[in-house]
Amino acid sequence: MFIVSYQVNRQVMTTAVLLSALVGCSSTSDVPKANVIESGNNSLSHFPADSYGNLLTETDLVENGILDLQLALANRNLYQTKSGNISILNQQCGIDVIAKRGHAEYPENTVTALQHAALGGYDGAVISAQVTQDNYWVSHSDTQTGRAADRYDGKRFKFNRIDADDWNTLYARDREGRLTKERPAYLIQMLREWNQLTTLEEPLNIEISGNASELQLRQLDMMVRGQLATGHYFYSAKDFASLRSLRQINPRVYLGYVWEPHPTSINVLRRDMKKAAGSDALVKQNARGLNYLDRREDRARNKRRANAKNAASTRRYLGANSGLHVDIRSYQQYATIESRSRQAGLARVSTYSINGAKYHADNLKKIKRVGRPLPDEAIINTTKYGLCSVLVPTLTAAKKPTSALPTSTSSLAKLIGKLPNDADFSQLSSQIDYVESAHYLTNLGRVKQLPVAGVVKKKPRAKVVTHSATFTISEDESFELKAQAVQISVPN
Amino acid sequence: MKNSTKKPQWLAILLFVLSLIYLIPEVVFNASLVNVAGSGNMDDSLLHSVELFGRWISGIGVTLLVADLVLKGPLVRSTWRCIASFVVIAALVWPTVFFGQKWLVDSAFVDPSTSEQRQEAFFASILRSSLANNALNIKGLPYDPEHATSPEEMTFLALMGGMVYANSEFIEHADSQKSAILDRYLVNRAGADFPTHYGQYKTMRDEVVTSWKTYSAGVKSYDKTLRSATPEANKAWADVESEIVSGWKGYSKKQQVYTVRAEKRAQKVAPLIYRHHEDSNRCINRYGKSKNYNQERLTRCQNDEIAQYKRTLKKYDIPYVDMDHWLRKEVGREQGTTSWTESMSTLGLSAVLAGLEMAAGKSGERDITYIYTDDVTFYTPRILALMKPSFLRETGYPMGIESLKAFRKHPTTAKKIIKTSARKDIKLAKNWRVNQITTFKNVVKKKVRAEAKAAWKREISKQDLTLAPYLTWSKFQVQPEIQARIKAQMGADNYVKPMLASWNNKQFYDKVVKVNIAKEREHWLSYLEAARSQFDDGGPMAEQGKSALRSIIIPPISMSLSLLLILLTVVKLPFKFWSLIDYNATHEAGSKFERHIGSVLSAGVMIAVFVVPLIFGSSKFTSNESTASYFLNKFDESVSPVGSVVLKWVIYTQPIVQPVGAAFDNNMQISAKFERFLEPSLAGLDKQDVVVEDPAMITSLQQQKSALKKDGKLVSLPFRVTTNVNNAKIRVMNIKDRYSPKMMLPVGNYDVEVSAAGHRPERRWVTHQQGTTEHKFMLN
Repeated sequence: MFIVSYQVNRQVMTTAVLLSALVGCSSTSDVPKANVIESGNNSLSHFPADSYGNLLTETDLVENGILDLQLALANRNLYQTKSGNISILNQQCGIDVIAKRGHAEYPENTVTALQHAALGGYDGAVISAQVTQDNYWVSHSDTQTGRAADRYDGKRFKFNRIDADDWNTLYARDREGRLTKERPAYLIQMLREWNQLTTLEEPLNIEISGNASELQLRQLDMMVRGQLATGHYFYSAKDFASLRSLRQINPRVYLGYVWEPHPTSINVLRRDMKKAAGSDALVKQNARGLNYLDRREDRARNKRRANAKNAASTRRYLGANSGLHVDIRSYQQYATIESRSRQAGLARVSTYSINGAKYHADNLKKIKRVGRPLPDEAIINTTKYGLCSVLVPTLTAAKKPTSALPTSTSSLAKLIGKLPNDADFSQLSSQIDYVESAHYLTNLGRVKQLPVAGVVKKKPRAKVVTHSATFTISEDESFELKAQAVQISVPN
Repeated sequence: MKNSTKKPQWLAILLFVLSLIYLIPEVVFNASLVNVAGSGNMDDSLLHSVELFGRWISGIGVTLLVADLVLKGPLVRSTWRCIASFVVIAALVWPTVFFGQKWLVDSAFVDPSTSEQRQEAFFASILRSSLANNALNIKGLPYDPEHATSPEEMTFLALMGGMVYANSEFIEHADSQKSAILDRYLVNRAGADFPTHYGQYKTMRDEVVTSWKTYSAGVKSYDKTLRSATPEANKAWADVESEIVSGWKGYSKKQQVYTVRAEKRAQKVAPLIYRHHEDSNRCINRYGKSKNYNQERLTRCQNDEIAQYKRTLKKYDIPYVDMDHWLRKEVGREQGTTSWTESMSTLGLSAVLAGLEMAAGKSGERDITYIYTDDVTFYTPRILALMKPSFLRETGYPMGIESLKAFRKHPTTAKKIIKTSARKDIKLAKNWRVNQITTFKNVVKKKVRAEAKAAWKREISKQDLTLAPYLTWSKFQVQPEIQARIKAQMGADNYVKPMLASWNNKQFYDKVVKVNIAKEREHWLSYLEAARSQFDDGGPMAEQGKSALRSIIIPPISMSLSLLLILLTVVKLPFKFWSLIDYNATHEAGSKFERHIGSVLSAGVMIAVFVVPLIFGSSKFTSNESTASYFLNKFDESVSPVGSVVLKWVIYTQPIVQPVGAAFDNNMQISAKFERFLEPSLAGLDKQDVVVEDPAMITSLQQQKSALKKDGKLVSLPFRVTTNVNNAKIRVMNIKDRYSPKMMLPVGNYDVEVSAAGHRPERRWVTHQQGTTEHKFMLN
């Protein structure tokens, strides 16, 4: 029943192959050495645990060009993660970045997505947890199947009727909606993966969906505690009653109270989905699995919104080790959320968005620009680098010239040194082509001209015509204006 | 009876008040005349303006005087009669005085004047002006040019022209130095006017500098835009790259959407198509087997199934394909072959089968079977393939572009960029491709440059200029448009080509004032050094000679008369006022003796006005040591002893009266108001006496001047007047000689009158010059 797919090694291998291709490495055969713990010296040993290559030998690092790459990235305050993406080396972002339902590039709530979140430089991850009719906790957020997980024949299941057999017939959809070969995960698989791949500094947020009974919640807590150490996990839910039950069950665990999304956010989401699906009724059906698009969910949502608890109530019922998880739109609209939470003594304020990572990031940027405090963490569908490069444009400022680096021989290292601060370092392979034509991709998805220093200046062909606005006027001088009178006498 | 002859009291009061009011403009005129005639200014127009003022006000003065004398008896019996009589008197007297004065002066002094008199008048006016401008110093003459604006100096100078004119001896004496005098006069006058002209130049300079600054700012902006061409081109290309990236993202997304669409359709149609296959098979089983074969029913059954199948495809928006499209081809074993393991496991049956197949000649053939399925994964790629045309229609691209590089190279990308660029006014050729980056950038640069040029033209035209950019300050100033502005600002007289705005006072003096002095010198010398005959009637100098004569004669006469009129009016006013106080008593009760006493007293006062200044008056100009006495004595000899006495009286009296008139004018701006409101219409009335200068006339005068300068004599040409009437009387009004058909006349302008019995006479000026010597007059 538990189909555990340990794909991490395969992913790491893939990453290594890609990197090797980028840096012109000749050997890819020894990539599995990623898991070899090297006792000898390693120039990347001080890099984060999820940095790619920090377990390789010095020789491998050099031969594969990884050292060169990582040092060039480190000079820009970046590093390559084991997941293959770029992350931030020093914690200067001002906000924890939490992978929403796993790594943004992988099917949500799948083992793969969680593995990559664990190795992708995030500060944590959120996974969904929902219980089947026959008491199996699975990782799924919607009230029915179809959107995130579906059968090949399209048959759908409501979550209050689904059982483990049905669950086993499902496949995960990727973030673009295509069915993959990967099975949706049971919660226990996710917990095990997280336990294996992360440290206590990266807690797993288990967001409880649906209506689980107290008994089921007790079973959940037992399962979680069996896999993860205290502090390595916490719970969150929109249903306040569930949270209160969990507080009874586990008095010490952090509990995040998830506010319903802002009504505007739901409307925007509906509009966007409608636009994306176009006139295709079948694609619309596909999206219907998402709770926010299901009109039948509106009533329950409105009820929850009506009974929503503010910071003080949350503190009163859930204790100090609790916090608010709010829609970024609400966070921006209600300027006192953060201060009231602090006043109430809540441990954390998180933001999320159902309107996409770009909207979330743009609003955090606006909040920062007006001098308001950022939330403690952002639950977002992008990488940590993706968010932080928007929030702190100078984050990637080069510390020293590329030529001053111990090794800077590879073209990729030179490229990293050449790129401006607003370049998208997560797309280095694309940048190669652009830089060749004196352009680069920005972190906002635009293409810009490389600064002049990076471009060879051509000699002007024509003589440069200049214009001087100066004018001169001669100084006045003194001179005689009168002529001597002619002397004449009258005739005698 | 007595009551019937006297004026009504109201009329007497009215006339008294009007006399009082009249006195103010009269005294203002007097002051203005002294100012103009005593300033040494040689501008005819100024003198003409004062002359008009004087003729206008003297017309009023005489009208009031006549009205006072005439309005008695039956003319004043009723109020309406009074008014009508006054109007008639004004209508008769004012024009008579206004035009009569001019006629009198012209016919008595100007027209009969000889060419010698005219030339001497000309020289006299120059001498007078030279005195005023400290260009001439006559030994012993106490005229002080440093105080040229004092009433005493101005009065003397106003009379000096006449005194010099009347002194042929002095004119001859000074003749040898006329060139030097003219030079000094022009230099000193220019020096006196220099602050005004240089001030005008500086104003012009400020305007040119302002224009230069605006121009420079425009050039800076133009230059900035031009220099931005390359960065703009780079930016535009970066935008294109962004568009491509964005397009690629959109394309990728659309591919994903289509995949999802295909998959969703596959989920729906897979079981349905499977059922259609089954139903179709059922048709064959039911009607296609040999035992119950029924072709018609079989066809109908299958057609029904196909129709349903079509509906299914239509429902899910899948293009129609044959049902066999959905059959999976399965390739089986090769016939005639088997393996040991297979033979053993089938107890040799497979070997037997292979043998039979070989015997049947089917060896090597593969078993191929077509099966139908409800496997969604089988349907998804097939449906996706069927959606390719739709994808192409929607995106413009075929499905399956795998890389950004391939996407970039695709012709649709180029087409889209051409389209979006056109919206930004970047016009690319239809066959442009994405790899033609230089071409794209060149188009942008060209556009930026064209926009810069258009903006330049727009901005420069706002200043009414069409200058090219990048001119230097020195080149900017000499541009024809700037020079035209400078000329308009400075006026033709104070402009030289090229005039720079960067000059200082000395440069302006050297390059403009000195040039003007030279020009004026040439102009005046052409008069002074011309043969006397050139001042003859019809000669090129005749009119200028007459003007000079007027400027010499009129001021002393007008000044003296005006002064006398003022003083007489002033001394009479108390008597008139006294008679008005007790008007009825004065006229009723007064005896004959009393009236005689009044008249005698009045005459006595008048005489006193003339005599008292002569007895008690003193002036530095009339002292025995003064050279002015020489001129007065000569006037005495050449004109009349009375004349010199009158001049002395004016010298004593005028400086007392002039400040009064000047003060009135200063406060009431009477002369300025006259110039503004009355002078244009009065000048219009006076116009008939002014020679109309058409271009031909000016040309002929210029020709004559050139001839004079070159040969020292006038060019004479045969003068002939033709007419349509025999024996018509032909007169040339501005020459003394009688007209004869082949008479020789100098090139010039002639006032010709042709008359004949039974025809309306015609009189007009003709221009007599080379090529125009015969002048036609057609009488009606």
